[in-house]
Amino acid sequence: MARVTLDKVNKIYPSRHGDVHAVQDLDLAIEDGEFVALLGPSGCGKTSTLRMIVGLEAISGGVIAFDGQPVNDQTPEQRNVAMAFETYALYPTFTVAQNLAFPLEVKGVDKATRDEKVAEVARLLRIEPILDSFPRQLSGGQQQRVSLGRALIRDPAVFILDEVMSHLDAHLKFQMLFELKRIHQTLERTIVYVTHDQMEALALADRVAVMSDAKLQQFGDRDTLYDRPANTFVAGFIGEPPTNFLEAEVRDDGTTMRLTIRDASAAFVPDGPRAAAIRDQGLRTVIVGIRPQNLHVRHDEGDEQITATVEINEYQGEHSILSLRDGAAEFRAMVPPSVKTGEGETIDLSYRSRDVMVFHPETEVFIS
Amino acid sequence: MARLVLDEICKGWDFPVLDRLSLTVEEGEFFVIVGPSGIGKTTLLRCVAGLERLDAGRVFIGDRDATTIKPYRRGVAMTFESYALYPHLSVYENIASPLRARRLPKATIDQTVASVASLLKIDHLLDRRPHEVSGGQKQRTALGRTLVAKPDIFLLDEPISHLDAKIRHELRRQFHTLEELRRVATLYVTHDYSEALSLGDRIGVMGKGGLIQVGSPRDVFENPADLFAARVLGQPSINEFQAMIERDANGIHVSVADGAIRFPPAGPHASVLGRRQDMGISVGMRPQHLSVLPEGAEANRPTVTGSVDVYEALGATGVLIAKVGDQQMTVITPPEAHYQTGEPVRIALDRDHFLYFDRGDGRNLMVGPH
Amino acid sequence: MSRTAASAGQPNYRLIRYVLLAFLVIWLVFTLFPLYFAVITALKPVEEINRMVPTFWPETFRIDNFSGIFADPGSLKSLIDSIIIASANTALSLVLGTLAGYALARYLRGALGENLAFFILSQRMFPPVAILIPIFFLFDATPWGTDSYITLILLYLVFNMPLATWLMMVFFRDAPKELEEAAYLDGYTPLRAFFKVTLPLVVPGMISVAMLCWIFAWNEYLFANLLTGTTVKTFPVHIPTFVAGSQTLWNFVMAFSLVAMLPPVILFIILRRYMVRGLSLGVVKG
Repeated sequence: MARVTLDKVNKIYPSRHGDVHAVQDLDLAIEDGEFVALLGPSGCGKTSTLRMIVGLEAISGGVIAFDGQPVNDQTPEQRNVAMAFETYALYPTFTVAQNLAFPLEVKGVDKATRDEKVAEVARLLRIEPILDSFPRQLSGGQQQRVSLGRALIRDPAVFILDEVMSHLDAHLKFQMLFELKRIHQTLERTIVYVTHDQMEALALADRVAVMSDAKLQQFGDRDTLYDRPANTFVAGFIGEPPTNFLEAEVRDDGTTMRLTIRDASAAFVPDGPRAAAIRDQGLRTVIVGIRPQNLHVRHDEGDEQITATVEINEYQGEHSILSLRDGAAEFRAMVPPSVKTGEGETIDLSYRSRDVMVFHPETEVFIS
Repeated sequence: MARLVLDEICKGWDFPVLDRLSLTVEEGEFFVIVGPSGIGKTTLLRCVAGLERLDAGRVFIGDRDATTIKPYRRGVAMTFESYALYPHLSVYENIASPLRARRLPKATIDQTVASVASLLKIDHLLDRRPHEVSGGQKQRTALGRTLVAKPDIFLLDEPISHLDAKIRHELRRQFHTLEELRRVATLYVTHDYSEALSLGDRIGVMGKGGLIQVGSPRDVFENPADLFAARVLGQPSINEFQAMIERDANGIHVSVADGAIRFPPAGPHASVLGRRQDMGISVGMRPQHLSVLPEGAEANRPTVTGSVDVYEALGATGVLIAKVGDQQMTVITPPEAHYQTGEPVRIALDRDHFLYFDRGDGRNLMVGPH
Repeated sequence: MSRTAASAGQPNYRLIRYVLLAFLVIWLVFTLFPLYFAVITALKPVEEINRMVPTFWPETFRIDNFSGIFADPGSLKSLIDSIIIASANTALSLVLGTLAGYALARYLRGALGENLAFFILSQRMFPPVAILIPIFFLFDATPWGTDSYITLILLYLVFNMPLATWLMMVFFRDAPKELEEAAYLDGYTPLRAFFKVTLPLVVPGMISVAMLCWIFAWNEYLFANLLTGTTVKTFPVHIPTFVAGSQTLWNFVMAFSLVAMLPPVILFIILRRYMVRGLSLGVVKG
């Protein structure tokens, strides 16, 4: 069990064409027993960060501490970190039970204790029936469980899970997500989960650290990331379908403010505090962000309304996604599957003014 | 331009992968095949492309019997799941490849490549090598290579499944709007049901050996032919329960786990179930047809009570697994709500949308002759 | 199965690293010393070479050992003969090995292909001395006789072609078949697809194979000595001719050997770049 803190951590890879700054001034405090996800597109620095926490990569600058003790100079073993890999990395010539027991055997744990621990982990992961099988006889999902089990059995201070779901197909992934959540609820250990899939990150983690371009963009729980994203990157990365971004001009008569979409007829009305913030900063133009889920066909009391033309109506079973056009502006809305408005027809959509996100036109920072 | 007809094609190795599969894709139709990974979707495409020799059956492209025509003379273009871009050639040369194969004049090639590249928004990358561009750009390059070929049949193998959400939605839109794709017969395979529903003019659900069901996306999703098709479409997966039909003075009830879940089925379902001899059935409830009732709310639908086992807040929705008796029930919840493990919940059943299946062969009891 | 557990406590990674480094140093001394001695010998005068206690640094430097060897008209010709034979043999091995390797990789998968490939490679394991006499009579019966370029060019195929075939087969197996299939669907016939797509992918492999073949043919002594020697004389056969009466002129032998080392070294330095660059291309996706 451990509290993991990263203080101004940097990673620089020297290369012939100049240094590559893979992680820049990263500050992160992961509480004891917390489930934290490192989320970002490939090349954002999340893997370098993870490798530095594990101890597979030298830290170019800053301090990583476990429970307040700097671990910069410690080996992975000294840090007592366990890791499960994207590729499972099971030993092909060992049975499942031998694979699970291996980390203990290396440590010199006696056989009785080993067997006991293997049984315990197998029960937790529901892999008891396959303990005598070899990895090649297992399905992808089972291999993944064994790989998780091998990380769990060491009783480490911190678990690191690196893209562990990316090879599973959608249905299996969904099952494993719940399984992992349940395991975390049972064990209450510190887990760092690295992924590029926002759905996985939001589903599992207590808090998510969103990274991009070697920097931490935002660190927060699901509601914070979803409702108050730090900038357009976070707003665009979190949520599917992605957030609609529209450039808008500020039309303000002192009482009501309308954000008129450029080259289009629609205008969004921000809520009071946001309008005040825009006024304070004296902005003439802003970027409006509205999530497809927040454009509704039903009209509730106090909702604002816009009208747009449907270009594509994508039926998805549980819902439909409308690709809409208004003048030069293109955006999407997520509506119930019963909506059958077809190509070329117009549709009225409602939204709550507090769901209108507003970003600074140059810095792309969220205006709250 | 032509339609594609597959007539009882068979292909197998140690076991049959395609077993007498027949399918017609009309000219201008976008047909999507959806199924779990490893079921033989790629094999089907490879058979159509001529990369695999059929064990039996015929492939017609237009009026031509193409069964024995070599892939390089078939007039079929295919994108591979791995993109299969030539690593030693630039993006330009990759796209130009089918035109060079036909030894067209350089001016024509330049022009065609330029127009396709600008259509796919990769015109600024033409000098790069495949390993120097992103996944989405690789996919566009692969798509460009098939577009310039102006084939009779398009085959697309999981073209966007491996890409980020943002690019995936952008490319999906492109599949909807690309004239070149919409004009000819296109066969598209994916394991992602939402892609299939969204893109297909018609879709086919593929199971062991062949197609389980073919129809419009809405029809297949709302009236799956059997339990397998119901499982393939939808995420989180459909809740399946072993149930009994119970008859008493008040009419018919469906009972799961000795009455932990018990409700009278909707009218049209009740009449079909009422006529059944075999009392054991499977009932399927999609998670979005179950909802957690706020405390004290009146329900105009049947309800069951249970407790929260696991709750995950996803982006647009939450997913909750509730324990009802000894059964687990997956429920979609609105984004604002949050739940703690162990918390009691009351779940409303939107029974109009429930599905009923035969316990033996899994067929949908509401479809076909009763 | 018993795998002994590591002793309690943490393994000392630093110590392990030093031990490994020490091994590396010992290995380097072992391999580099002969080269070092060859270099200094090539720079010594004859008198200094024959001392009972050898000097490890020349007392007088004799650069003219290098020009001295070319006073013998046979020296330069032997190098040229070697270049002709090695290059021609490499080209032939490569062409035949590439085509055969491709056929094995693509069309003969399964048990038959495996067995055939192994059989081809096993040719290389055959002790060459065993066939020395038959080979002599065989080439003696040809119109060009034993003492000719063709003899050695063809003979070295016996050793180089199995190796080239085997290695090229491995490289072709690694080249993704999907790329070839993509080329078929682009409209290329199998032959054009081979030259347009598959061959460029194995070029780095071909270069490595060429290096191996060339160096074998360059250094081969046994057959060259027995079959040729008058009209054709490769440099390994020429080296033992540096004798004055009963005395071997080691300074000339070493100087000439060092000169003979230059072509393969230069070749390697030039081609190494392509080998490395090619390797990074061998990916379908990434």
